[in-house]
Amino acid sequence: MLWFIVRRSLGFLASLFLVSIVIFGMIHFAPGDPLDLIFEGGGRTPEAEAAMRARYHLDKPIIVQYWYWLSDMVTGDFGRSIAYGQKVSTLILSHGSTTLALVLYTMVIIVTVGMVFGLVSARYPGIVDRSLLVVTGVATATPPFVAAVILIGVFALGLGWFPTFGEGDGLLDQLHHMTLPAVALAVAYVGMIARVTRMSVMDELARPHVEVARLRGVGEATILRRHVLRNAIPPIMTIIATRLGSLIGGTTVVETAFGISGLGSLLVRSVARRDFPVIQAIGLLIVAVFAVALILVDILHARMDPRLTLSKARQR
Amino acid sequence: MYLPKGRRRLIAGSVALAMLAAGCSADNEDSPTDPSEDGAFQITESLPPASGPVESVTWTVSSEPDQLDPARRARNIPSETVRAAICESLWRITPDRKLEPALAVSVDSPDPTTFVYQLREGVRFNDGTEMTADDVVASLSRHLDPEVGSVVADAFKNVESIEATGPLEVTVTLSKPDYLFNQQMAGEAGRVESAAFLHEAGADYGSPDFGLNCTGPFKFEHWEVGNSITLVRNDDYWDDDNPPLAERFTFIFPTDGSARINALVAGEIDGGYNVPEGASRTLLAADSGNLYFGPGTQAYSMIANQSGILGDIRVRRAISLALDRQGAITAGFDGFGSVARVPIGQYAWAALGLDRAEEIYQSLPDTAVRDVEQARELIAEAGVEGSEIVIAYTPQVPQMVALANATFAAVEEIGLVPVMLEMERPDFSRLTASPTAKDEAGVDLWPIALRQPLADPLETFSIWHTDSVYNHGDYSNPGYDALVEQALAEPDDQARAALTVEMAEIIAEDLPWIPISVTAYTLFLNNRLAGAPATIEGLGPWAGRIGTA
Repeated sequence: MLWFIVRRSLGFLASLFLVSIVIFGMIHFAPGDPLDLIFEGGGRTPEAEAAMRARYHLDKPIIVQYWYWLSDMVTGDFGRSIAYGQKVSTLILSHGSTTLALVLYTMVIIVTVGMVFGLVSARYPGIVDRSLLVVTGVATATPPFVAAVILIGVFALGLGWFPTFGEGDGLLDQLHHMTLPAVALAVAYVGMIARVTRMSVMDELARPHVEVARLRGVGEATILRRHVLRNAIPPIMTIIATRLGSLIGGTTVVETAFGISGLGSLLVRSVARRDFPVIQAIGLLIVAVFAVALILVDILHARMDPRLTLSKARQR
Repeated sequence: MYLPKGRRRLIAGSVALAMLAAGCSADNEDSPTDPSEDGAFQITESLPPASGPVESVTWTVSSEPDQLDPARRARNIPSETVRAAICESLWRITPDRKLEPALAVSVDSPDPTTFVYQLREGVRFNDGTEMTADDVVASLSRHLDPEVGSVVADAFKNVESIEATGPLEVTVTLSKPDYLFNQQMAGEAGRVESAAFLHEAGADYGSPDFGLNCTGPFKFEHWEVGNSITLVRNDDYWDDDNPPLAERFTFIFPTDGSARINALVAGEIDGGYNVPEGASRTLLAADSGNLYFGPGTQAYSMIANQSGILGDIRVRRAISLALDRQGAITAGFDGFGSVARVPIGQYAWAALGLDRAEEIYQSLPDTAVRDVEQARELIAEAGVEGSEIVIAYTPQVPQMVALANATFAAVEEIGLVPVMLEMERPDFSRLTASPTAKDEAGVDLWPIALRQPLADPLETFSIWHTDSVYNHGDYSNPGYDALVEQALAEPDDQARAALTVEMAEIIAEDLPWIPISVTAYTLFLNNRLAGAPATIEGLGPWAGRIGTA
């Protein structure tokens, strides 16, 4: 296990390094001058421009700029935002905690609601199953921005049960504010997870070991819990991990629609303003999170199913 | 994934139903259908004052200011709005557009090229230090520093020196008479900051980590990037006649336009200026508060690049004659606007009295009258039929899209070939920020929104002087330049205003910028509050006036 983690971590660092080159290159070779934002109002004297270029190392060759960025990152300095002048690490920390809360809340909804729907679907074939299939079908087809508009219209403006924007202060207030955004983000994935759970559970329920357990007189609930779920969970986790990328992408839409200042909305604003230090940092962060999630899923897989060695974990 | 036909239809139907439901819930049966109906689009000059203090006020601006430094963002409305609650200038502009003492108590002009300002005693910055002449000198001088690259450097173009000639006395020496300079001291160019704070903050002045340290009714407390800026009441505010009423004043910037409107309607945010015109009907119908239309100078025009075909006055006149301005107002502003006769609204002359201002405006040629026939004749005379005209715009400002479309239609109708050029916001800003960008991009016309924060219309009309940095189309008229120079040297306010009327007549004839529409400023205020100024024009210590209804 330890050797596995070491090997994967090295691979992770290597891919992060390669990705950093790609992200840096893409942003710097994209058309447009990052200083346009600072001088949007005017006042672009040669002296002022020179001072700003020096401040953001834009007067150095691109390799040198990349080296500055890389070496600063190792010490935790992600540079300064061109728009705000504030340290990127400060920006990311303050916005990151919000997005983390949103994503965790969303995952809880996806996993619980999705799995419940899936289990019920598999357990009660017939009208229940068919109705749930329609519901999950509609859910899967609903992108986050559509869900957001409907939820705001009905629950925030219409019924007034939830606030229309912001992330709130304090645990309960945050839960209150983030409910609609989390639901909007979760809708499409709930459908997906429900269907995967349903198939996985149906698969397991048909297996010989379940038959044997039933014959032995073990209760249905215990069968579900101990014999079925354990085997059904790995594909669910894999789906969640591989979909994590698009889930993170969905935060950009949901955070913007609900006025939540998280990494998603920060990324959107930074791209619009060509604030490349922020774009680079968030880009790298997303890739890192994704990679770590995949590693964690592999480890969890191996723990849940002793038949698998870690090298075979994701082939299942 | 494969689904049998029946199931697919069912799903499609459910989604359609859901979207329909969403659309219906946004409708409002009570909204007025026509803004010209009485009561719906009446200009409110002032609101009733507040009756007492209030614990907290939340306010929204259209977007997050990325910077609070006036040297970088003096002409940016969100930045200005926040800054005006914290910082002050040497003068203030009163509701009837006159100057009154603020941080300066008097000015003396011993000769036409000298202004001697006496400063107010006992004024403290947010950090408790007392304001002296050195602070004023530091605050004003930095706009002259090319390394700072101030956007209001133009206000100081005739300044030779700024010196502290006493503990509370500042002497400004000019290279030639410039009475507009004194007027500028009521605006962003005259904002006073602590010299020590400027030194400490350096290039980070006005950024989220440092904020501002000024003399106004509120103190900068905290800026949560992407979220809000929180201010607290300045209990040591020098102006006992205008004590700040709110204990906490928080600016909130929802990241999305509709989130902003929803929050106002739901009563989650107390108020905001300049809501998008498309939202006016929704806000008029909201129960949580009232939408007011305030007097304002803002007008939208199309800047003509003189170095192309638009250099021929016949072409400019032809486009102006063919423009359907009323149609543009309906499409771009939901009808909430009026036809502009010059690139600024009539409120620009409000210092002369509102009746006189209207009189002046009515004496200018009426641009609401279309004459496509004459326009076509002018084009034929100029011999440019079939020439291409490039119209630039940015989709990120919806009003500008409507103006560009109206211009497109007019250009097409008179026998020219219009070409739309869509530009991202940073590139679009370069058209005004850089003198060469418009020729590099080959742009002939592009929209601009112009306002006049100062009480003196010379601020606006000096724009079309050949040497002005704001003369974006490169209009050049020696006769006009002479008028501007004459006005700059004119000490009497009335005489100077008379000269600006002459200038307006020339601009209306020559059309260096083709005026389209004047828009009313809007204010949405929650029912529990009162006292907000009806307009953002010449914002004095506006935030302090908001209190309980």
